[in-house]
Amino acid sequence: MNAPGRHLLIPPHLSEDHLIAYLDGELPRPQMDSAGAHLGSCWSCRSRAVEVQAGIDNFMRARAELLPEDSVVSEPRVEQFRQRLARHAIASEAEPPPLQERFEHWRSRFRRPVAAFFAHRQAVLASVVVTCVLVAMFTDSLNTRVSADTVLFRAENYETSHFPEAGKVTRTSVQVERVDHKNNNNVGKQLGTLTIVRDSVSSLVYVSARSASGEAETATVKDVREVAKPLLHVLFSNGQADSSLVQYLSSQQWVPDVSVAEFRQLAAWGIGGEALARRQGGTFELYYPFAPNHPSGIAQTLLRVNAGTYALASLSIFSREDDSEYRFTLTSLSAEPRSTEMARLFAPGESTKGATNPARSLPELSRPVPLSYANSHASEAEVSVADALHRVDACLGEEIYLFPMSDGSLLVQGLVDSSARRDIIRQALKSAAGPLRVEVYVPRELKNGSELYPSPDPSAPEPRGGDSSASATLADLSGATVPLHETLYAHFYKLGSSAEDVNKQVALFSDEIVTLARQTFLHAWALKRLDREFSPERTAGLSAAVLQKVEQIRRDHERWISTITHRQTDMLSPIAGSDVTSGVARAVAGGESSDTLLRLAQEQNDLVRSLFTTSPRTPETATSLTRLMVVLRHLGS
Amino acid sequence: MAQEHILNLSRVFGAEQTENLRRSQDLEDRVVELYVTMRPSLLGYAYHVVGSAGDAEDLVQSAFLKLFDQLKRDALIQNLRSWLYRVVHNLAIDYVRRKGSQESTQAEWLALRSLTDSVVSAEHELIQKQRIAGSLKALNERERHCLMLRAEGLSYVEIGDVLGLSPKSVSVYLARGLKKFGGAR
Repeated sequence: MNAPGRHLLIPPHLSEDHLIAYLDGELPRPQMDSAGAHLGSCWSCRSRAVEVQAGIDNFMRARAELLPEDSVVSEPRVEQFRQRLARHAIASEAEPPPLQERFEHWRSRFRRPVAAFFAHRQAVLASVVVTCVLVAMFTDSLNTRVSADTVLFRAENYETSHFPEAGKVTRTSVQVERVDHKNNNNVGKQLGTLTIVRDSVSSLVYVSARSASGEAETATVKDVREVAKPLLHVLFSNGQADSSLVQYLSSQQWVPDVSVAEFRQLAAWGIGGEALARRQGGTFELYYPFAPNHPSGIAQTLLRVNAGTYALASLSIFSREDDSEYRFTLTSLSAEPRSTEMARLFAPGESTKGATNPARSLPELSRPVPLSYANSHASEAEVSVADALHRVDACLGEEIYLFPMSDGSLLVQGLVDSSARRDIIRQALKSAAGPLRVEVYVPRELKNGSELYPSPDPSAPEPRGGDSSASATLADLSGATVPLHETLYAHFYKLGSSAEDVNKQVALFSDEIVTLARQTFLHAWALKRLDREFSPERTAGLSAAVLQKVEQIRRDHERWISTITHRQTDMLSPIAGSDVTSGVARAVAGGESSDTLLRLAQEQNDLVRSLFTTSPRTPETATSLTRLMVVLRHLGS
Repeated sequence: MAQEHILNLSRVFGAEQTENLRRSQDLEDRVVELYVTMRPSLLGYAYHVVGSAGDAEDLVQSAFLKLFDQLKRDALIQNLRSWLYRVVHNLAIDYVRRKGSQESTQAEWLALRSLTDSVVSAEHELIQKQRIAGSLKALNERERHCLMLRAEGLSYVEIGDVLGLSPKSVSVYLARGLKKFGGAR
């Protein structure tokens, strides 16, 4: 009798990978069954299966521990991505398809002739090269300019998808300014404001125009065009009412509203050339030139569109007659609930036009909206709030923003780490002047972050050293050392202490230098933010005393940068050795722009991080250190 | 009368281009929807590879921009999930190689915490995290990637698709990884 095979006497145990694949249900069917049968009968394998499961549990716990807390502000992330995608889509529309694709397209059309010519390989290759060159030339592959029409289309899409909302009223506020370009004086002079309220229920429109000198006109009508003439008359009552431009606009019944429809109206009269689109920071500018000698006297029209959202920002008409720009800026566009007060504006039987009727005056905006820096001016109150925030260092890397609002008030909104910090900020803001709302949250109070407005300066990049390092992880640091560890060790050892003390000193030194570098960077960042918030355009109307306050904040940051970098230099000089430092004089450059400052601060922060924090990669320490010293000298001056 | 002044969109752009623009908008909406759905798990994986939440978010968004391009070109994507993980994986690996290493460090982390609040709890947390990071260090790259992808719920075939491995190799890496991870703790 043959002896039974060994595998029948002692069935083979499951290997580790079979075991895990079995638990995951990933074995092929027959093996699945036999593994199951084996596990049913084998204690040893069953106990190993439990071990594997325990290993999985362990791993999953560890993984959860290392993950950053789910971002409390995921809603803004989605919005940010939506905007990034829109920018990407528009850029890819402007770009031609990749060369390979064009070649494929070409090849599929001429497959047969190509096959016929395939024997003459060289000829084919040459023709491919020539074709590619020609294709690239004729399809304008270098042209990455954004098309004005595409931007306009998207702006319209934004408008129709956001407004009007069913059952609500849509309120549009427009500020009218005249900018005199003749005297190179780019500051706008306020002419008046226009408010248009559209009711989705009665489809009536309430309009109210108010000139800077106090003249007013209100009406509730079916079609705004009916009252275009008196509206224009009020808005331009300050000397321009008789100009040929206003005459022409009146005769065409043009409504001075900032909307794509009104812009198309304008454009339809007399575009005399190709539209030009360009990007200026966070704004697309679309120029539509008019035919020369157009009876309207319009030289060109300009539409500014937010490059992130494609919301319209302003519409300008350039007049040939007096070489000035009439700028219509959209200060707010919002959908509001149809309150009873609001409904009264559109009550039937009262559809009259004419002088102001107190009974039908417009209710206050139920919810003011934040304005971007581009379409608001800085006020004295804004400066004083910024100053108060500055005093408690809320401008140093914290997510605190100051918003100018559509109703002229201010809003401080943001997210801080603890309620103690919030109390400090609230306390500091008590002394600030003017109508102010403070909405500072701690993370647990925010459901998804939709309560937070995006920054009033959409084009400003986020500080690199801020956000990403805040969520720093420790995933992979064992085995790495500080590149300058040995130098530091030698330095402190010279001063004569025990090895343990030296190590402690090295750690303290590294910690301090990294913290200081970050502080320098944050101050430079605050300076940059200050420059954007209180740009010359925004502060044009402010008094010298108020401007002085802004200047004071600026000088504070500069002084801090100087102090901290001097401290850094003092700390580093003995380490870097005399040969590095002696050559670099404490030169006073002065008058660095905040851009340069920020760039330098960013560079020193990066250098310090590469030199004094652990990383497996060893940079060129000597050159990095020299460069760092130079950068610090610059910053310190 | 007024109607005449308003430009007809199709007449300005040509019907085909208008259609393309509309299509592009629809596509954007679809991609954003996918992004919302897939973001958390892709972010988790990218984070483990690059080691910083900000960079991970950026990589994940870049992957969805690629998806947009791909869909716009009508290119075929067989398994969307493993396609997305593959793109995120490749972007993350590129990123790590380019950057040289994960820069996050104990010193920076400590510095940051001391700027904000309670150092005591931070230290405890730090030690805990460091311990885990040490155990993960015992694994090689392949094993770590396999385990992380499996933890996100991918099947062996999908993991193999992302990393360019056979399902059988995936099971071997998983088994070895778990063993090393358990041993290191």
